[in-house]
Amino acid sequence: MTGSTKPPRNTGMQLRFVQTGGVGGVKLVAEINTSQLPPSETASIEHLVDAALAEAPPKTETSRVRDDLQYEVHVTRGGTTTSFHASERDLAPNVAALVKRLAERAEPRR
Amino acid sequence: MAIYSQRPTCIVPPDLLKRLILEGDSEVRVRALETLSLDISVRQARAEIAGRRDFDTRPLGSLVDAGGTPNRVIHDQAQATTGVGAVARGEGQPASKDSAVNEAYDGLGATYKFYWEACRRDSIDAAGMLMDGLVHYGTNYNNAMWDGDQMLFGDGDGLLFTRFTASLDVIGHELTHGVTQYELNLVYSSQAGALNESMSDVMGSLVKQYALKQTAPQADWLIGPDCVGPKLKPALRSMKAPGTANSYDNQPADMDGYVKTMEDHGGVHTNSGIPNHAFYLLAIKLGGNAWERAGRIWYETLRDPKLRPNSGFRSFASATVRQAGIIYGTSSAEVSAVREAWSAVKVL
Ligand SMILES: [Zn+2]
Repeated sequence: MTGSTKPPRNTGMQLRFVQTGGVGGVKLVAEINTSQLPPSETASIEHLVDAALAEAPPKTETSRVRDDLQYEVHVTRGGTTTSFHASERDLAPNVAALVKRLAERAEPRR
Repeated sequence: MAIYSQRPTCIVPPDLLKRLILEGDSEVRVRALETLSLDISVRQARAEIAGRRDFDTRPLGSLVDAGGTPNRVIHDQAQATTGVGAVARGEGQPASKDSAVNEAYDGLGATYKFYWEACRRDSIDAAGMLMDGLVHYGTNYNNAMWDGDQMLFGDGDGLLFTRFTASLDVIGHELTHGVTQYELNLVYSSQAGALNESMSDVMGSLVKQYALKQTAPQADWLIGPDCVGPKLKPALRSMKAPGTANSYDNQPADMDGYVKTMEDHGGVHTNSGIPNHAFYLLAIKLGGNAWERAGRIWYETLRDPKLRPNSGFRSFASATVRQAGIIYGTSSAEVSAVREAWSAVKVL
């Protein structure tokens, strides 16, 4: 036990990622608490979340795309949840990068 | 072989066509030119005209019943998700060393053959549209889709999915999204969206059954058995037994299980299980080749001018009864079988 010189413990972000649609119609879910990730990954994923949230929301025009993957991302931080929804053919660059990271950790759910 | 189209056809002599090109008003000239020309550039122009949807191109299709030969272009995306990759194989070119390229080429060919021989339909737009297939879309990409103009095929990550080009029913499914866009153009949301999805599964399955020469009882009625990885085996969906295709399949087989959700455009890939199962029940009841009677009724329903793009299950079901009556007579066994199928899934 040392003195109280450590910075306050990072409580992290809770991330919930849900992918639906696609020709398979398979639902994939990832639930991540960034504080439980290796420190280097925590920083990079939190940075990516902030960058994605700061991006302009995607267009909502009627699309002719069929079987597109749909993504929902819910970010909970300090008791507040922010969510967004996007289609794979309509992703802003940082959202695309975040979705790619989260999808790698997602598993099928009924 | 079933011929679905009831529209009359007549052959216009080439001399008359030439005169129309020289003397007709602009629309007549465009149409006469299209009729005479079969080269790729004219077919592309024709597809664009058809794609505008501000006038019906069908009278031309029936004026001179050209067609019967596919026009495929397979592009290698080399993992890109934007733009269109280099042409890897065009119509009539020899096989590539790349199996995904050849599978897409052959699968689009089999789909074209089904629509032409069984439905008397000349490609996606019924006017000879070029069929563009983009393979190796994305990196280990777990999806295939129709983007409004062309078909995109990922390679899969090997766990959830393997390469989508290996699945003939999925190729038929994607191309049918194009056919639906040019016909009823069902809205991609809730019940209309589930009907859009179901139409793609029905026709995708029929493309496979037609290629394998399988009767309704012989068919597996599975979607995607050839593109699922170990986590999703044995298939994506079952028209015979919705909800049983893999451990995560939650498709309902009837209206008691209808899922109200905001996800996936209102559950379009979930509730499609209901019309899928109705089609399966009809095909089994009628027996024989599913594309001949059940398929013909569904295809004519997709072209029913009384239906609207936002049609729900009940309107669509009523239209299938109406079409069965037009084709086979209102007191036919086919009409009874259609009613029974929709009643079994608790739609009618
Ligand atoms: Zn689809």
